[in-house]
Amino acid sequence: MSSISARLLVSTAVVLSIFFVLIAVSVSYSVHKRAEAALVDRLQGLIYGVLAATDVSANQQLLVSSDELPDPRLSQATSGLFVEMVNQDGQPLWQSQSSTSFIPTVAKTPVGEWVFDQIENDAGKRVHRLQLATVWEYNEGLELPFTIQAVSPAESLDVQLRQFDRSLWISLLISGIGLLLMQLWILSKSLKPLNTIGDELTQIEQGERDQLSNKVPTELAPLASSINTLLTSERNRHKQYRNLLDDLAHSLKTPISVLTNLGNSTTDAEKKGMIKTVDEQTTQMQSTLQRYLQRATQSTPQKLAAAISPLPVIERLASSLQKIYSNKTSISINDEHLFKVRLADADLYEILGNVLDNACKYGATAINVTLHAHNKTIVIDDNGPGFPQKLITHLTERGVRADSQIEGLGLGLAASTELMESYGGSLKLSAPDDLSGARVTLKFV
Amino acid sequence: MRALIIEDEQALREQLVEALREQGFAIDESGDGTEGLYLATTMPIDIAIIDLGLPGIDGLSIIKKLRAESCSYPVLILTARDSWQDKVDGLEAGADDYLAKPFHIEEMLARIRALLRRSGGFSESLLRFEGLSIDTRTQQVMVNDNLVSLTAYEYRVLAYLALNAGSVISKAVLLDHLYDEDTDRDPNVLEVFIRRLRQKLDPDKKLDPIETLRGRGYRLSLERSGE
Repeated sequence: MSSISARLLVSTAVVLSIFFVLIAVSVSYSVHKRAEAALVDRLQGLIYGVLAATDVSANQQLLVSSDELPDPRLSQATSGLFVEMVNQDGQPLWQSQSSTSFIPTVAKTPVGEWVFDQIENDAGKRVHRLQLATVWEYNEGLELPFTIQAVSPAESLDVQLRQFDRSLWISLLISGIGLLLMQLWILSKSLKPLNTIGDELTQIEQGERDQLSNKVPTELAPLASSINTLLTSERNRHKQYRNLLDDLAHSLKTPISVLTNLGNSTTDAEKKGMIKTVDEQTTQMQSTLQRYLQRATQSTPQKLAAAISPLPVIERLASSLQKIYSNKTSISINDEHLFKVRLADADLYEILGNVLDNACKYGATAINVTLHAHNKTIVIDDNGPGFPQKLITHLTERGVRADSQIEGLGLGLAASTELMESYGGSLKLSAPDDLSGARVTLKFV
Repeated sequence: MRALIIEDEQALREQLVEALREQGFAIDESGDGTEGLYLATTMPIDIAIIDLGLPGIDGLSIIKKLRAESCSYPVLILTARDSWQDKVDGLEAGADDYLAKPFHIEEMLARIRALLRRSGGFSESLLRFEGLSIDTRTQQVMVNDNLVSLTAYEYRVLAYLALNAGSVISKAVLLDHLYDEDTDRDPNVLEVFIRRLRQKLDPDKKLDPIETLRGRGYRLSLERSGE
């Protein structure tokens, strides 16, 4: 189970269920006990009432005055409530008028002890019975031991208790469901900041934002701030490595320049030969340097790059190129909508600079740059001589290295292709729709 | 032509100075940003070659400052940092072109010639006037399609006047742009060069390419012809 909300919801549901079942069982048990105690009280009262209406005749006959009976139901044949007195041999001494054919046999119990139990009558229905063994003294020390039992039908009490149980369970079930729903709502409320952070992290990965927002609850603020610090420090470290590499590579270039131009003033043929070798070697050193410098910067985590808008980059490059090429080339920019791309800005400058410079270098007099926001594409058309077909097919092959020498292609275009691919994008060469000149399509992700 | 070189790597600076002297440039040089800025703003410079990483004041700041002081001569940046971002920064600071290290001196010379032509309003390496053409690349001068043989100094005087065609150039300015600081400058020598130039370019006195404006200086007065 990977979701926090699912875990919380399931555990809350389990706890709530156990809690409600325990409540239901204990409430039901105590209510049943109380009902039973009340029943015993009532039957005791009935037995005392019958005993009060009882007298013993001289010949050991029990005389019960029907007028003094405590409950009129004892005189009704169908009431189901009856009282019976039996002697020690089990012979009935007196039965109320309500007695039926079913007379439960009394148990032998010590004198003066109340016994309450539930039994089934002959029709299979449950009845409650309370019995008491007692001794009646009469005529100077003569004693008549007998047992009195009161029997009452369990049906009405059972129905009441069942109804109570049912309504108890229903109300607890409704409360449980209500509490669960409330818990769900509370969960979604309290987990919302976590979801927001998750969404923002996705946005950072997709290049739509640079940092987590500060609008987080106090408990999550340290986490958000730590993530932001991590992002910043990673970006800084990346920048630092890049700068270090850059410094290393660039500091070697001035000595290489000196070596390259050593032979300019000498006329000695032997020296010239030697210097030619130096020149060849320095050229190789230079291209190696360039290649590794590019590799090193490309192997950095691109997802950490901040999102930048390509428009200002294109505008700056355009005005710079117009300066270099003394306004021989006009560059027009059509931007549909502004959009952002997730690239290190130095890389974006390289990609676009190489493509635009290439167009100027090969004699285009007009360049059209069109930005398409809907598919994050920049299309650069020019009216120069266009690309040779060989080049178009060559560049579409995978794994073209920036240092591979291709006729008719400055190193720049291959470098731009490699850079675009390292960011998951692509650079495609083609002819524009009117088939004159060249079209470069840069697709960003 | 007077070129300013600001480059802190001595070996490279010496190579540049040598190559430019060979091309007939008068040179001001410095290995330090502060001194370089002083030279850039006080000397009659025609073109500056400036390295970006310098002790004292960095190259970009020098370019910004000399532009702020209305020095309008072309500036070529020399730098090991050849990324487009660096190029754009340099060009926006006021540089006119950009040369990434390592480079061949020939390429630098070609860029310098192009910048000088552009600042003189020429778009090709061939400066064409009525009856006279000067190839800044090969340093060959033709009068009515006949090759004229000039000495290095004669060529420099002519090229400077041609790149500033139509403007009056005083002797002092001409000397400033032709000679290094430490060279013995004699206005009489200049007059001798001008006289010899006139003889070589215009032996039958028909063209009259160089006008003398008494007390003010010289002017190349030929009309520019179509390019």
